[in-house]
Amino acid sequence: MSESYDLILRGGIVVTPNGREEIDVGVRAGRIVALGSLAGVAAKETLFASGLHVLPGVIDTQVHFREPGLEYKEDLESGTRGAVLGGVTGVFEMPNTKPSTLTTEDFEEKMRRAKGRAWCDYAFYIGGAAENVMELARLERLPGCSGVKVFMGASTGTLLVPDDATLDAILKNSYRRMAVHCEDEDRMNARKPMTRLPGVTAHVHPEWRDAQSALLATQRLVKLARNRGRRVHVLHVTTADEMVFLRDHKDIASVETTPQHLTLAAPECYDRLGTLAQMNPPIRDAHHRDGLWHGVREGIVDVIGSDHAPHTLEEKAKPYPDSPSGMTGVQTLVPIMLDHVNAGRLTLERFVDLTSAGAARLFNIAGKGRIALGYDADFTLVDLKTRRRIENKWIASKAGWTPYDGMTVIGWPTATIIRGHIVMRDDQLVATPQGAPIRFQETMPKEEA
Amino acid sequence: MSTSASSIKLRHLLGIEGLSPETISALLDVSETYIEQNRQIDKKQSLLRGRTIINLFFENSTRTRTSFELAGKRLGGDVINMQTSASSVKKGETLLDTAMTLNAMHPDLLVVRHPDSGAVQLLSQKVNCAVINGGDGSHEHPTQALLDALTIRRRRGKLQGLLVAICGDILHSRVARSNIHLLNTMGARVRVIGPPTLMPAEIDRLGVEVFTDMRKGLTGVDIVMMLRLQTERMHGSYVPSIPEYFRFFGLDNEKLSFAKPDALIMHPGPMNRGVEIDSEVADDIGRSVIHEQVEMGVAVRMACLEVLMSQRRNEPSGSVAEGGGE
Repeated sequence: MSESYDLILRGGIVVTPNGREEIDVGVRAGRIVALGSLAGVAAKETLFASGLHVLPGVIDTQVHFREPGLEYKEDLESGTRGAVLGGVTGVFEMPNTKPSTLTTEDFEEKMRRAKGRAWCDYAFYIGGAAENVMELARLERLPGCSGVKVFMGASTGTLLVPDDATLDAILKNSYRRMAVHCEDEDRMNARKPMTRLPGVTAHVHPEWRDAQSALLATQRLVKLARNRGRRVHVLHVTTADEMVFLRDHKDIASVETTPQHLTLAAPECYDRLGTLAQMNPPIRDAHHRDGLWHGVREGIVDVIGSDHAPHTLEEKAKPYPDSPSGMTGVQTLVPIMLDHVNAGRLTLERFVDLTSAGAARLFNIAGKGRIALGYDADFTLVDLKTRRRIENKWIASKAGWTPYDGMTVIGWPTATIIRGHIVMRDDQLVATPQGAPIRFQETMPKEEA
Repeated sequence: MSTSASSIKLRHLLGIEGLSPETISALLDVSETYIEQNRQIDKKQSLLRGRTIINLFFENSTRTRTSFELAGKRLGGDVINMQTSASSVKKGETLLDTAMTLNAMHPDLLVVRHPDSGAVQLLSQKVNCAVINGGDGSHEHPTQALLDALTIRRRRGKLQGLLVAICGDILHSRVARSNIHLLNTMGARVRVIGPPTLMPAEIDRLGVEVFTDMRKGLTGVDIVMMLRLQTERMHGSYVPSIPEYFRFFGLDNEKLSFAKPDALIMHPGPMNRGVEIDSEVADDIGRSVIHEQVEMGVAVRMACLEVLMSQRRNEPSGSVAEGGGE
């Protein structure tokens, strides 16, 4: 009979657009084809999900996987392996590799390297810079491209766009939602000498790259974007002030924040973690953390991205400010945020909105972001009751550490399913890498006649 | 002093922006060597004998011009002052025409003050000699920032880590801009305090904390730098009235009580007593270093002249100069 399925998820509580439903999910050829009671229906594979919540696959819209060029920190295989172990089914990877991702050749090279090695689905950002500004409209439409990423600060060389003229040219010459790292390079340069004072530690990091540096850049970006009638995505918003400002610009600006900025706070994190807590924009004090939670509660925040940016412990051991900025995060995004769900800081539905539906909505992802008929069979299965301890030895990243080492959380991803393939079950990899490029409505391949 | 003037590689001194902490420290070290000498009865040296220095001032100035003139003369140079009123500018000659005319007279150094921001840099690209910016528009006034830094360093032993408030008419002040660049570069923390109407747009991109309330902004600071309300640069109304400005932004003992008890009081001059500063505060011999600033000014300018001239020792006078601050 024709009513046979490749996979059925039985007995879980499924978060669909209707809310939480105790239904079965039928999968065929990588798509969701049945929702409801599938009692007595045959399937090649059955996963019993009773006691678990079945969520749309978590999409992490900001990771740095370092390949090519910096594979000693991370590569596409290890990075995506961490993703699926942490319940993440898709990632958007950033262009500050070596070389930077600025041309068709750079981009195709990443696509080629990901094929057959990526454990989860993937897309790559193209860097927006002075040297490729005239090519961006074409580059951002390459299949597998999640859009243009611009660094207003916190980068070097060709990827850095510190001035309004170049930023405006990039806005003028592209179309899709543009993701931007907002820190004002001029202000940070002017303030940098404070990091060279004798006896200085990572505690000064949020003072050097202060809240005003972030707010200034965000305001400059939004002003230019509005002039050009463009939509922009403000990555890792870290200040209460930006939340207040962006609230009045939601018609063109979408907002990301990270689990780190929602969880850690200065000065405690620098007391405890030192340079391990150093990232850009920095972890700030509890006032700003409260402001970010306000943004989550009030709907100002659209997505949670991990900004997974691994560096080795050896590099991190350099004395501040020579220590590099960034920490791992792709594998801990789901457990950390589920712990916040359990603590009552957000609902499970809001978690789904921030980690799956939000990404699909902002970036026009084709066929992902909700559990509905016809959509890709990407699922993150979570046990909301289990109490687990996050430890460095669990981390798949080549960096081998997490800022949450030793932290006990309630809520854990227990299975990762990508287009119908179960790739992680109970912390074990149970398949081979089967990641594929994420499709976007702007990059849909044309059918050959 | 361990620093020798010839080790500092500077062709012109057009601004503080872009100077390295090492260069600034070295300039201050050289300046230190002149302070004692200036207190002797015989102040004259022959270091710049045979060198011609022209003070080219397109804007009125008494103290800066006098300070540069004394500096040049004490080093044995030939100093000529040209004020706009006496020059051909009044007859319609352009800035560059004047520059080219003077250039043909083979001076060794021009000290230039001009009401337009960027004019001194432009001029420096057209002449063969060294150029010192004596203040251009609301852009930079590098020797003022150096003399302020020297004053602070002698009183506090360092610049690093100090909290400095620059107060008043930030918008029109080249002194503020040069001081912000210098203090940031040397690791001090800078606050600017003034009414929103006198605060330049995007001033915080220079790395400062912005305050519009004197009491809040002065809280805990080590140094209070007052600025002159530059009514001559104001086209339109920036402050409601002088009494109101004084009430909110004039430095008096009450507002000063928010700063550290030993905070130094500075002012680049000339002071408007009762406008931006109360006489009692300006004349507070315990904390006001306003006259010391003037003294340091001569030493700093001597150092700048010596450094720039030492770079030209082995240079044919016809070689084409390049622009740039360093």
